[in-house]
Amino acid sequence: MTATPLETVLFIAFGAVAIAGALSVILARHAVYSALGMLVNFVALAAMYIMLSAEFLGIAQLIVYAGAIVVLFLFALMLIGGRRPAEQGRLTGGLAAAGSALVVVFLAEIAYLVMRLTGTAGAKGTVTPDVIAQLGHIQLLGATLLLEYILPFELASVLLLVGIVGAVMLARARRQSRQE
Amino acid sequence: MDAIRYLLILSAVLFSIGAAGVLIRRNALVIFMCIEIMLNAVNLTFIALSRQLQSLDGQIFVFMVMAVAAAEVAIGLGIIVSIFRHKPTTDVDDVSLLKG
Amino acid sequence: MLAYAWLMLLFPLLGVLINAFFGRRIGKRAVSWVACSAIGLSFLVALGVLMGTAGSTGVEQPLFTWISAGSFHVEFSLLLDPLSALMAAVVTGVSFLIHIYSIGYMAEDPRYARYFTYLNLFVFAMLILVLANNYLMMYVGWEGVGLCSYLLIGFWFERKAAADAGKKAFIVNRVGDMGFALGIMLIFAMFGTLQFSEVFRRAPGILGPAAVTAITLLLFVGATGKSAQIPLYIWLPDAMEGPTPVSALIHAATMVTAGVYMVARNHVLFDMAPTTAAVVASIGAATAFFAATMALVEKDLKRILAYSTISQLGYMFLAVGVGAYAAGMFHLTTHAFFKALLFLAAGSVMHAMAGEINIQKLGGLREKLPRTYAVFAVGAAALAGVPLFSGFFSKDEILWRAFLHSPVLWLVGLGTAFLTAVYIFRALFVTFWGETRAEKKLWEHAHEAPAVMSIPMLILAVLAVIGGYIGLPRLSLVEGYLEPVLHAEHAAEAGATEWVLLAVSALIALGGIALAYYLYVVRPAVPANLSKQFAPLYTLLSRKYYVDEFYMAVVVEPLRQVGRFIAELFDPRVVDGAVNGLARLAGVCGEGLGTLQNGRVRSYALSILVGVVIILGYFLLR
Repeated sequence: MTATPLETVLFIAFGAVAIAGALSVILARHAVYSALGMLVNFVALAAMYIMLSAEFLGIAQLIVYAGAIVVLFLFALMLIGGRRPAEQGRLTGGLAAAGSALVVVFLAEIAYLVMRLTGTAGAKGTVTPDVIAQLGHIQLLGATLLLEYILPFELASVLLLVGIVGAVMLARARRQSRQE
Repeated sequence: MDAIRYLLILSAVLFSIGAAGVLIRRNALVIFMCIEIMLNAVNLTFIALSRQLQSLDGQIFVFMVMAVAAAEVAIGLGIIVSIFRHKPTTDVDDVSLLKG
Repeated sequence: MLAYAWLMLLFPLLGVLINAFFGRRIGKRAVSWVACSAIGLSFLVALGVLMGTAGSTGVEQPLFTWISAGSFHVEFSLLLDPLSALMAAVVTGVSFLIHIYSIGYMAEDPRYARYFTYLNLFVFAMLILVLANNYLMMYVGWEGVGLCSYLLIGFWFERKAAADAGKKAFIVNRVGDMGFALGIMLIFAMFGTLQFSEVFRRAPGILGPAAVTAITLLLFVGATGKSAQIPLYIWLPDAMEGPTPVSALIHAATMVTAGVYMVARNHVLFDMAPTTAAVVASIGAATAFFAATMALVEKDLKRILAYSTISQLGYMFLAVGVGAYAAGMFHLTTHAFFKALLFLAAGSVMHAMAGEINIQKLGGLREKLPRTYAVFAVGAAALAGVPLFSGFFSKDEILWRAFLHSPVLWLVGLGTAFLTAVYIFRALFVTFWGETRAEKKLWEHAHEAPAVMSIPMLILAVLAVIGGYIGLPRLSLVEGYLEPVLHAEHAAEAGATEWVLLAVSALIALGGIALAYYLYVVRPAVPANLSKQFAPLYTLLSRKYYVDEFYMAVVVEPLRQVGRFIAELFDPRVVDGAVNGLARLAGVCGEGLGTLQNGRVRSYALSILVGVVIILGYFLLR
C-alpha cells in the first residue's frame, strides 16, 4: 500500500485529530466535553475511512456514530448528569495507576508486534481501490452483504430489534415502578 | 514507515486511550464513551487491513460492529438511566451491590 | 409337577405382599386365611415335588438370569433334587401347622398382620435357601431367614429383653455369616462360578487338600452361627423371647437346621476334607453334650427346649461330620416334628398360665391341660429316644454311624442321650406332675387351648410317633430317597453289633427317664440337696459355663471401649476436626477470593486487561 505525499500528510493530520479527540474524552472535567471530544474522534475516523476507499462506511460512521450515538449520549447527559459536577479526581488510587501502567505495557506489546510484521505478506484479494472506484463501494459492499453474508446481515437486524424491544422494556419498567 | 503500520499503531494508540479511560474514570457515561472509542479503534484496524488485503470481508465486520454498537448504546444508556432513577449517581464505584 | 415348583416360592411371596400392604385393612380373619392358604398351597406343591424328584439326581430349573456381569454369571434357578425336596416339604409342612397354631396363639396381638407377614417372608426366604442352585442365592436366603429371625425374636420390641435378644441373634449370626461369605468368595476365586453342580463336578480336579479344608471350614463357621453350635450358640436361648410359635418354627424346626442342610448340600466338598469333617463331628458332639448339661438346671421351660435344640443340632452335625448325611437329614426331619410339638405344647402352657414359663412356678398341670400334657409327653418320649418313637430311630441311626466311625464320639453321644432323657422328663414331671406351685388365680383360670391350636399339635404328635418309621434301618426310606444325591456309603450290614447298640441306647433312654422319675417325682427333695452339695458345679451349669460373661469380657467390652474411644476422642477431635478444618479452609479461601469480587466494574476491567497483556506477552515470547 503506497500513499501519495498529500495522503500521507492527511493521514497524519487526521490521526492527530483522532488522538486529540480521544484524549479529550478521558481528560475532560465535564462529561459534555467528553462527548464533544468523542464527536471529534468519530469525524476524524470517518475521514480516514473515506481515504481508505471505504466511502460507505465513512458515511455510516458519520450518521450512526457522529450523529445518532453522540446525540444519544448528549440526551442521557441532559437527563441525568448535565448539571452535576464531574467526579472529584480522575486518578483514583492504585487501581488507576496500575491500569495506566498496564495500558502502557499493552501499547508497547502491540507496537512491537506491528513492527515485527513482515511487509505486506498475506493473501491478496481482488478488490483493489481501482475496482472500488470503477464499480462503486456501496454496490460492492451491498452485493457482498446480501450474497455472501446474508445470514449475519439478517441476524444483525434481529439484534437491532432486540435492542429496540429492550429499550422499550427499560422505559416501561421505569414507568410502572413509578406508578407503584 | 509504510501506511499499514502507521494505521495499526494509530488504532492501537486509540484503543489504549480508550482502555485507560475505562480504568481511570468513574463516570459511567464517560466509561461508556471510552468503550465506543475502543470499538472505533478496532474498526480502523479492520478497514486498514481490508484495504491492505484487498478484500471486503473486514468491512463487513465493521458494518456488524456498527449495528451492535447502535443496539448496545440504546440498551446501555437505558440501563444507566434506570440505575440513575433508582440511585442518583453516575459513579460506577457506587454501584457495587454484587460485591463478594 | 416339577415344572410348577416355582409356585412354591410364589405363594408365600404373594402372602407377604398382600399382608404387608393390605394386612391392616382386611381384618384378622382375612390375614390368617391369606397367610395359611399361601403356606398350605406351597406345601402341596412341595409334596408334589417330593414325589416328582424321587430317584432323580436333580433337575435345575432356571427362572431368570439374575446377575450377568463380565465373567460373573448367576442364574436364579431352582435345584430340585431329593435333598432339597425333602427339606422344602419339611419346612412348608411344619410351617403350615405352625401358621394355623399361630391364629390362636396370636389372636389378641395388635400387630397380627405384621406377624403373619414376617412368618410368610420367613418361609419364602427359607425356600430360596433350600431350593437355591448356587451359593449366592443360598446366601440371599440365608440372610433372609436371619433377618426374619431378628424381626420375629424382637417382635415384642417394647420389652427390652426381646429387643436385646433380637440384636444378639443378629450380631452373633453376622460372625457366622462372615465365614460363610468368605467361603463363597473363596469358592468363586477358585472356580469362577457359584453354581453347585459346576463346583461339585470340578472340585476334585481343582481343589487341593488345603483349599478344600479352608473352604469347608469357612462354610462350617457359617453353619455354627445359623445352627447355634459351639462357639456361636449363645444367641439361641435368648431367642426364646420371641413368640412361641416362632421359637417352634424358626428356632427349632427349620431355620436353625439350615446349617445342617448346607453341610449336607456341600457333602462333596466335606467328603474331600477329612480334617473339617473331624472338626464338624467333634464340635457337634461337644455341643450336644454341653447343651444337654445346661438344660439340666435351666428353670425356663422354653430355654430348656432351646438348649435341647442346640443339643439335637449337635447330633445332626455329629452325623454329617461322620459322613452320615442321610442320617443327619433323617434326624433333622424327626426333630422338626417333635421339637415343634414340644414348643407348641410349651406355648399352650403359656397360653393357659398367662405367660408363666418358669417350671418351678407351674406343676400339676396334667389335671388342667390333659391334651397338652399328652402331646408334650409324646414329644418328650420322641426326644428322649424311647423305643418306637421317631427320635429313637433317627438318634440310633446317628449313634450307630458314629460308633462305626469312632467309639469316643459314640460314647459322648450316648451320654448326651442319657442327659436328654433326664432333662426333658424333668421338665415334664416338674411342669405337669405333683402339686401345683402356681398362683391360685392363675391356676383357676388355666384352660385348654382352642381347637385351632390343639389340632396342629395333635397332627405333629402323630408325626412325632410315626415319623421315625420312614427311616427304619431296615426300610431306610429316607436314606434310599436321598441316595441319588448323597451317595450314602452303605455301612456294612448291621448284624449283631447294631442290635446291641440299639438295645444299649434304648436302655439308656429308659434309664434316664427312670432317674428323672426318681429325682423329681419320688424324692423331690433330692435335686435341691444335690444342687447344694455340688454348688460350684450347679452354679457353673446354671450360669451356662460363663460363656456369655466370657464373650462379654473378651469381645463386647473391648469393642465398647474402642467405640467409646472413637466416640469421645477420635470422632470429635480427629474426624470432626478434619471436617471443620476443611470447612474453615474453604471459608478462608472464599473470603480471600471474595475480595476480588468487590463489585467494582473497573477492577473487573483491570483484570481483563491483565489477562490480555499476559496473553499478548505469551505470543510475543513464543
